[in-house]
Amino acid sequence: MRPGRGMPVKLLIQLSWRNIWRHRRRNAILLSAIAVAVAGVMLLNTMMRGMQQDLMNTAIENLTGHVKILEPGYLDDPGIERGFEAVGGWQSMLPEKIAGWASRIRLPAVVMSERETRGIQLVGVDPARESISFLGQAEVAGDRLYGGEDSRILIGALLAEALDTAAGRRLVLVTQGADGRTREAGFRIAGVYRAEIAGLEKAFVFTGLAALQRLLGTDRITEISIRLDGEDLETPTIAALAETFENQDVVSWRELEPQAAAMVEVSDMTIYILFVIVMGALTFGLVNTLVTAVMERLRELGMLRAIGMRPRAVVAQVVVESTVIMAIGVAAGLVLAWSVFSFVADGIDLTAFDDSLASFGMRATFVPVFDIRDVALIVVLSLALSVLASFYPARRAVKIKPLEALRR
Amino acid sequence: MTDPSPRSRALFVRVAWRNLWRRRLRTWMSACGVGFAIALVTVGMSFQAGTYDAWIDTATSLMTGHAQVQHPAYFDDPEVRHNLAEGFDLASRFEGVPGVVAVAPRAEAFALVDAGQRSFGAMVMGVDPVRDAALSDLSDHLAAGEYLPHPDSAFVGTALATNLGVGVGDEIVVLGAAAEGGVGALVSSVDGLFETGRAEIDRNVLQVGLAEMQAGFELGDAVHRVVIKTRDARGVAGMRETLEAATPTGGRLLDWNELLPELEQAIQIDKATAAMTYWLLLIVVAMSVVNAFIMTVFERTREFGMLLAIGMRPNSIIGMLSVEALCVWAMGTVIGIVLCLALVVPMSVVGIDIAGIEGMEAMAGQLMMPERLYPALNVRVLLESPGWMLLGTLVAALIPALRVRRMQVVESLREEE
Repeated sequence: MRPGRGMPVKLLIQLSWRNIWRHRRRNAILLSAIAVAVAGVMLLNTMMRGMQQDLMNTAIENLTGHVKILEPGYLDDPGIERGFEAVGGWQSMLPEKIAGWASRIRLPAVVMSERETRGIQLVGVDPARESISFLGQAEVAGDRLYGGEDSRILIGALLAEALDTAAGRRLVLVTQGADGRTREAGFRIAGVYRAEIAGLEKAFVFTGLAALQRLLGTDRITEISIRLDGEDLETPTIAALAETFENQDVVSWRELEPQAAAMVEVSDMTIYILFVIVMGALTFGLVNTLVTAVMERLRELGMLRAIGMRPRAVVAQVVVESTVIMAIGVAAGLVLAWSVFSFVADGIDLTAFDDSLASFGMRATFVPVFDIRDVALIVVLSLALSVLASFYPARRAVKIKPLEALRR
Repeated sequence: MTDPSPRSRALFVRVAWRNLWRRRLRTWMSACGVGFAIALVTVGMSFQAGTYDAWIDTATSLMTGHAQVQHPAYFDDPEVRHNLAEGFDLASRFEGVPGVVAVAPRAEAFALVDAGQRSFGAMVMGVDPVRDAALSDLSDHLAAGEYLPHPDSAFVGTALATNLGVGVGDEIVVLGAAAEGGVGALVSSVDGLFETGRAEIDRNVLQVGLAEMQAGFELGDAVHRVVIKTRDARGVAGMRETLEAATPTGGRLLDWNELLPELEQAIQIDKATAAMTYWLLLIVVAMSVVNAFIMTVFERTREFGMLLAIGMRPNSIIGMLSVEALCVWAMGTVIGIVLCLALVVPMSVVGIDIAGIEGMEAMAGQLMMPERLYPALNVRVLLESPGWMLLGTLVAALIPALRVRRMQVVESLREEE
């Protein structure tokens, strides 16, 4: 132990480790407080992340995709005259890692039955490409569409119920053709689909893309939706596509589903707020314990100072002790969080809240997400907090006058 | 000390108070911890209350109102034929009810709106302009023209007007299923446009005069909803009986919780999430207090041994520690409540400009938040967290204090100071 260099780290840690064991009971309580706080923050966070993931997936599967190509003005005034023809070979601009893409026609339309009139979105799809949207996974009673040439329609179960109709029956839809004139056409219902988010069943009626183009008298489509493998590919994909589609808008799902995007951003901030609240409360307990630990060792620290220990080494002792306590507590908390999490990792049934979840765009089974980046964040912030909390106790320790301390 | 006189009890409290100040920093830290938790929970709860009030206001003020009377089947199956006869008589039944601010009858149907070249589906509402303006703030969102100046006027959402390619002065034809099963139709002139900023309303709604609607859709004097606005949305539950009494047989009374189940559930989910945070906070702080009292009891082992040796009952020592805990709690509560009031009271008057916070503007609109948020304080908010914290502090003090019962007098006296 050469005075100039201070104490070796190994010795410091050994010393603080022993000091912690000198007061098992109180440190056990402090450690459990840290563990409970960390576990609590982490678990609440897994729920937030789960919600975030769920919102995002739902928004993307809701015929949105990560990126969408639209004619300018389509969003404000959707119609086939705001359609476009994709340049040949545009697919070569896509990154390698994509889940898929689909071109569609999507138009507002009105369903007329003897009893009721309702507004819906009529969507012309190539069924083979719809694995990227909720339609790919939806259960269908009756037939699915066999291809883009299929001129029958698929309707949602709730709509079928409201219109009192079923697969095999006919339905009259009114929409606008490419010439701007109203088209009224009868469609045979191929099948009735069920969606995880019940609201979608009332909103979308699907038919074959090529068949719809023929009915409307056009070669155009109104959108291309692209689902990527990961969100980080979004910006480069948009940039690449914007070059190819000079006359169209290439937009991210965040613009198309602003409500979901806003909620995702709010949950990003939540972890910081949670941490500050819960760990902030913990700091009072930590400072309390550290100050007591210093005051108890007045004589001991005074002695060390008297035999030549530098003030810096005294500070280091307090800081290391605080950090070691925090590190053990955080580790225990993370283990606790993980073990609770593994019980609910498969999902929690929230059917009781179904209405509201659907209005937020969430599913009835809730799957929490344990994100390793959040673990890292909690570890770093906690350790920073432990250093911060040792500031005052360390100052107290440095102020000890060796002579006075020894006289006690 | 089996029967403590008031004097000795006062002495007891005084000793406990002095004991606290033997470790000034520790006492302050514990009290601040308790205060921090109480402040956070009370501030959080008043923000929540303010947010929920805002949610309810935003959701009910445009269309829904605080309660409605409908045909029993209309809510689940909104068909034109599920209507209530004598709409105006029905509405006037509620006008005298204390607490009711405005009542308006409405007829509604989903219909095809045709503007010559183009047609779109939309929700057509027949309204009495005077009564509806008193109840709904849709007329405040006027973007062009006037709000239903003539009996045959139409008040159309801006997005719907754009889609139809119509502007103020143009004529539109509304076609739908009539009450008797035939085709309902009416011709109106677009005299006003509204823009609420909520796409589903701006794109899908138009209002016409109630009498025109009733004539065009063969409704006679029938309506689909009698919409009621009360002085306070939260008071509707308490008014249920009076409102129910005014509802004629054959009508179904629904309050906003029932009309907007997703709103009530959103509030419940938000409350549950917040409650978890609060509990975590209170538990963590209570554990810190346990820790502080463990240290206190440990340091005073000799002193307690002495007190026991001179004949004090263990229960009295535990009692004294409880009084100390009570004092810590009281200090914490004062700190917490003062912090909370200092923060919330000015804000509840001025409001927080949410739209002004960078990046929050768009978010506020999307999350049903108003531009200014007014946190709402009430007695329940101010009592709840101090109440739980009191329980937490007392338990926290008792856990280490119970050690006194097991103390061996001789050994504790031998304990090094």
